[in-house]
Amino acid sequence: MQVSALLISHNGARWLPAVLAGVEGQTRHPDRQVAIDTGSRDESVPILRRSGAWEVHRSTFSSYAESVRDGLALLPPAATGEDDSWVWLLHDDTAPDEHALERLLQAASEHPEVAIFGPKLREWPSLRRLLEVGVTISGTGRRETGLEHGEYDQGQHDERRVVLAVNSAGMLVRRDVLDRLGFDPLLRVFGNDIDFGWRAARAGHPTMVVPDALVFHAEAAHRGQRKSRISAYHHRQERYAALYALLVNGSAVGLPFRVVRLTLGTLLRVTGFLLVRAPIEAYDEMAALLTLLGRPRLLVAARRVRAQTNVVPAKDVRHLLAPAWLPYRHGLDFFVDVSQAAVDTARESVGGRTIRSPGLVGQGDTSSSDEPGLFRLLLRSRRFWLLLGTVALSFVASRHLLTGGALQGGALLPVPGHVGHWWSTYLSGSHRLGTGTPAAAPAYLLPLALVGSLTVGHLGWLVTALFAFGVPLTALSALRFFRRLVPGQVAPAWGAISYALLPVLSGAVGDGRLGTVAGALLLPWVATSALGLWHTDRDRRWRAVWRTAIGAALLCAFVPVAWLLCAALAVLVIGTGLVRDTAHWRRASWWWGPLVIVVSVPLLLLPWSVAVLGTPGAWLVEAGVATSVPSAPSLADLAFVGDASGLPLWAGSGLLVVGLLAGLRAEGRQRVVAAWAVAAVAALLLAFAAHTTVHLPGIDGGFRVWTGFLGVVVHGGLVTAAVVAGDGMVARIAGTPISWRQPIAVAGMLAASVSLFGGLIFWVTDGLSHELHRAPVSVVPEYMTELAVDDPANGVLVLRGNRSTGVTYRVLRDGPLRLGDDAVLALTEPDPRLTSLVGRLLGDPDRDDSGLLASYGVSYVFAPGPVSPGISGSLDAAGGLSRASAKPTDAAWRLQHQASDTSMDHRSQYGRTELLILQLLGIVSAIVLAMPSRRRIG
Amino acid sequence: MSGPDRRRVANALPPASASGGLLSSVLLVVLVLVTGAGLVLAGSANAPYSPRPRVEDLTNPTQRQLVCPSSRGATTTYAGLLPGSPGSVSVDGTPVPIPPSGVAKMSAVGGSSLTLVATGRATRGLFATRTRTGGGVSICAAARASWWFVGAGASPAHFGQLELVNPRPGPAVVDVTVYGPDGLVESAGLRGVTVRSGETRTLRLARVAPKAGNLALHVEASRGLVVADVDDHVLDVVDPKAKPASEWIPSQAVPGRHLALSGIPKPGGAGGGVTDLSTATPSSTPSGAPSGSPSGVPTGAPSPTESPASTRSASRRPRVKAPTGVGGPTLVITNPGQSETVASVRLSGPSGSFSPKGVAPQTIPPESTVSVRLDGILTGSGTTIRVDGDRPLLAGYLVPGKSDLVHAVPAVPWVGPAAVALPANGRRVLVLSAADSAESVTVTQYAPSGTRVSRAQVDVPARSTVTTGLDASARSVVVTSADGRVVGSVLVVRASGSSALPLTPVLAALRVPVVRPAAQSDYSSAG
Repeated sequence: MQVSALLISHNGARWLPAVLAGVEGQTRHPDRQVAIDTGSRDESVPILRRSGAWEVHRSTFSSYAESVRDGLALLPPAATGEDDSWVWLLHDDTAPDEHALERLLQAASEHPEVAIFGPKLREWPSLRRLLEVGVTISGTGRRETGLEHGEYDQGQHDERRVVLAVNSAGMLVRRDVLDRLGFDPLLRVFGNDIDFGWRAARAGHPTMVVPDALVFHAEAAHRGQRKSRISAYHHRQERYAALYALLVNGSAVGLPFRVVRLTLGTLLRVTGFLLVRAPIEAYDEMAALLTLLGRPRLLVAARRVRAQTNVVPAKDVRHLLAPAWLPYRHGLDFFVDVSQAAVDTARESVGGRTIRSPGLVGQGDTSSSDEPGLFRLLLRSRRFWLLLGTVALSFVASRHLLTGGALQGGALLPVPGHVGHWWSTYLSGSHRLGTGTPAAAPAYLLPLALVGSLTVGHLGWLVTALFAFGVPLTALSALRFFRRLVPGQVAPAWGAISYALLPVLSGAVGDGRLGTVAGALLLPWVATSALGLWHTDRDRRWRAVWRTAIGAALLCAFVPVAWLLCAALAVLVIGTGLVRDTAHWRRASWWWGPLVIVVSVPLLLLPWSVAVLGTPGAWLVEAGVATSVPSAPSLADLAFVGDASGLPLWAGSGLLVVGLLAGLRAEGRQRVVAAWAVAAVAALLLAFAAHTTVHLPGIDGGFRVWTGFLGVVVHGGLVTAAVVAGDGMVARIAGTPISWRQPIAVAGMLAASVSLFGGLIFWVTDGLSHELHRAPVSVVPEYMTELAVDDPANGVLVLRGNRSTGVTYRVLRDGPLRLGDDAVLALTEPDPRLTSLVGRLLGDPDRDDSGLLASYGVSYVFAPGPVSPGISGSLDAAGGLSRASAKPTDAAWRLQHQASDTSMDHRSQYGRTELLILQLLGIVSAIVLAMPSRRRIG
Repeated sequence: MSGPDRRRVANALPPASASGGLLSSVLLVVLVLVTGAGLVLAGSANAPYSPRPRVEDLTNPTQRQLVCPSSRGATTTYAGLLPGSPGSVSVDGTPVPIPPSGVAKMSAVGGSSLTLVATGRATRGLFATRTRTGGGVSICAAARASWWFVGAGASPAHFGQLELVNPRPGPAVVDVTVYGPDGLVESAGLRGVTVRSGETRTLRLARVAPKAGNLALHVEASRGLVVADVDDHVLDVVDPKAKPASEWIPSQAVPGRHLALSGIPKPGGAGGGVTDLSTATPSSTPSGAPSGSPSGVPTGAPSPTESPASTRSASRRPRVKAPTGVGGPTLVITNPGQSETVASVRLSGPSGSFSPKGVAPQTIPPESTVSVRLDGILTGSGTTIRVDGDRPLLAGYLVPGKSDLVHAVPAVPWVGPAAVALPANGRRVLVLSAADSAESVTVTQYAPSGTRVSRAQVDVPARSTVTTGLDASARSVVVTSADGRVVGSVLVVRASGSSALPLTPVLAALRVPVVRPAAQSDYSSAG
């Protein structure tokens, strides 16, 4: 047997010495050793030359196939008919085991029908991990080795078998076969081994893997370790090769199906890569497919070439390909892995992150193997006890809010019967609300609809959770923030509960202020993310930027004024950074972060933020009915928590006292200053908002907005200052000599306790007994609502009031107004023609007025009792209206004209679909950018 | 993030710096002050969102209908227009030529009710009066939901007919409540009376709700709007030859705590007592006495038992047949409420107002009518009766006679022009009374052709009543009040008897409630 070793090298100086040593140490030496260097710019050629055993030739690199051909040209031509001349292909990163060649040749002699042999490939330098024992390809173009990732070689794959292909690294191939088939020059570096093996199989030359021959492979090109342009875009090249191999080698019959499958699969993979923040890989996928499909002639030519050598039908080599179910198995594995990771994360979280590090666990430590159960972990968790306690108190505090009709009252409208109402309101640019409106849906409907979709038809749970169990939820969120700030346990717990009570004590919960309640819940999450803006690791810092941007957008959806707060704080952060930490903050990658957050919020709130360009006052109005409970808070209401809702001053002033005392502790004062800075900015914004008269098209006259959220931020700042200063206070004062500090500290702790327990008692006794209540949702008789549900043109004009108070009207369609409708109507200019029409009907109706009213999509007029005789008399006397059935105290009329929607406003918000797509792209991009970076292989 | 990472983040916020202990203290103080200033500023914001105070709008109606009551006898209808209100007025589609600011006269030989339809600017200036031969004058009224009539009868000696007219396109359903001396008078036939569009329904009270004594009626349309009138009659049942004396009862719109009754006939005049029947001739009527005429009530009038008039009245009382309770000037007070009410009576004459002696404050049981005889107390037409209650009341005053029946006008103040079309024959006296503060009103009289006969300022002193004789050639009088402190009427004395016409504000514009889109929270749920 004549064996020639053919080594192709390219910038492989790092591995070459070991490779050469490996060849040198072979028990069966090759008869000739030829090395082709393809333009290395490192020490490769000198190393090869120094060894002396190799005939070194230099060439320029075009493809692996060309290099192999160059190498073969240097060898003496194979004698015709002689099939005992072999070529051993080696890469510059493959170190053969000393028996490799010997065992390959032994196999060759034992299997004369086989023309291609491949060794078992192991990872270099771990030495035990298996890389390949033969290779095949799946229907989706995935290179399949049949091995687990990182599987250790324990001899479990050590039997010779016929495979589709073997890696060209260490491949022993009969000279005549190599001469005749050759590698495909269209595949530059990657994937030519599979193509070669497949072609050989079709040509009647099976490939066999010989596991007792061993070669170590660094996979330098695949892992991007080889610094060279030939392995640039290796992902694209690999993908191209895989698709190429499938399309040119597969059966002609299945070709169209394969094209469709690969196209769809590529799109799926592109999406997947985008979702894991790998845009380059996504681009490579797409580019590989398009390059290939863009050159159909090339494919046809390649298939024609193969047709000349094929002797075995395609179906006879199908068993060598990966089974059809394999891709789905991979999908299932991925899903299971992700679920397992999520469960592990949760378990770790519950366990308080007390994962033992290996160094701490001694051999004889029996407890280390005694992993605590979930129950015991829960019992140990302070978070669990905090949650349990506040949930129990929530049940007591909201005892009258737990059962009955729909939760509503104050600024809170009842939730719709099904989540489709929110989705259609959010997605549609035109609403059949009232007399029709193109006004934009509020941004908070998107998160509400998303979460509402998870409640399987029980939207009421959503608002019940927010209002009745808002304190535990907010406390958890705040606890997370405070525990990031300070290492202690007591101060964060105090801070979390004190902060969580703020929405209750400020009256936001009792008045049904959805914006403040949701804002208070979200704020600590956003603040926690924002702490990452100071992270020194660029990647982590930018992930924090995007996380904060998403959180801030969510917060601003409910409380748009938070955007102004964000902007002011961003300026403050950048300014402070430039003054105090110039080294970092002069760099764009630092100061861009806060700016990106501020800029991305309006982009993430897109259709809404464009729609309110004409009404900037909408940025001051938070979620909830804008003018439901007009309020002009006094200084005492603002300064003392709960003063407005009736909390005694001795309890309400506690936070102010501890916030002020916090400044006296020198330790951590800078963070106290930061907390006060947030409070100061919020207070200035509060003053601005309180003095601004807001005009919205759908609201009669100017009004002052509810500023509860900014109040929560001000007091949240005080709580934060107190938590920072109060952490470790007991240990600190106990360890120092008696001075003025001890009485101050004791006073502070006393004030903190008083405010906490005062607030808790107030909350549990009557903190929620305001406007919020449960009641059945009904305004108009049920039959009218049902007719309107069947056909939205069957609206009901509802009239209230009398001559001494004036009359108000509203057109209702499928029942009363629901949460979110109020914000749409607030941006809707009322139709003056309808207003004057109703006025005429109540005073001096024209003959055609009832017909005109019907053209607004009104079938019924309804006046809930007590009905003013003036109203009922006028409508009775008007033509075209006849009495309809209603409760004796109410009055109803049916319009004799057929209702139509010809006078309704059918306009649609300009470009809403495009803006929604932009918003979706923005949200997906932000989420992708906020996710942990994809770990690169190697 | 692992534990050490968390610490690193925590320590990096704010950027750690050992220097500037003093700086941070100063900064802290500044921030506390800024926070305080912000809160002070926010707390000083004034009260937001005041709902608009205006609750009524004025609108120009496109059409207006006035309905004049029907009568069995021959009628004459006078329809006038205010100056500056051109437009067309028609009856059954036939145009009625009314000169600008003039009065048109339409005669009919009895019959049904008459509906005047005004369009254009005429809707804002149309007023009309209907008279009938044999006594009785009434203004023509627009449809509304609620009507009160006080002083009606439902007995053989004193009986009335309630007429309901629906001039509007929609049907009307009417409930009539009758308040008698002993409380509500139950009658099934008075509930849910349906009046179709254009229909006239007549209800004989003595048939549907027979009851002795003076009654009060409340006509309330639960659906639609109607025009209601009550044609009231008294009959001397002892005299087999006697014919009933008739008069339409002027209506009231709403109960009130302070009521005024104007248009009190002079005792002994054409509308006088039963015994004066023989002397009831036009020549015996008082001349159109100017204000301050001696026909006013003497101050400090003696009590009925002491005064000669009272004696005279008392001597006539036996002629009145019991138990009708009709027979002398009677003040009827109705308490529509659910609780007992006390009403006091004052008289307002040319030289001031006083409480008549012998007329004690009256206690009115709930939902009842109380009749107070005022024989001899009122001596002249220049008197206004004022009734004050501690709860909303209604009041009427009637002077029944053998040949004549007079109902005083429940007068209400107005702002702007109030007009009355005057019957052609007889003597017309304008009676004006001010309550607690004086006012000067403009009185303009117009001839049928629309030419102005006279224009004068009449000063009405506080708590006084003045009378002004109207020119014989005048067919309409317009009284313009700027402040709305004056009430009044026109007393018409004809051969057939006296009648009082209310001074009713002419519709300058239709007052309709302000209509606005509702705030969102109002329509979320019931209640």
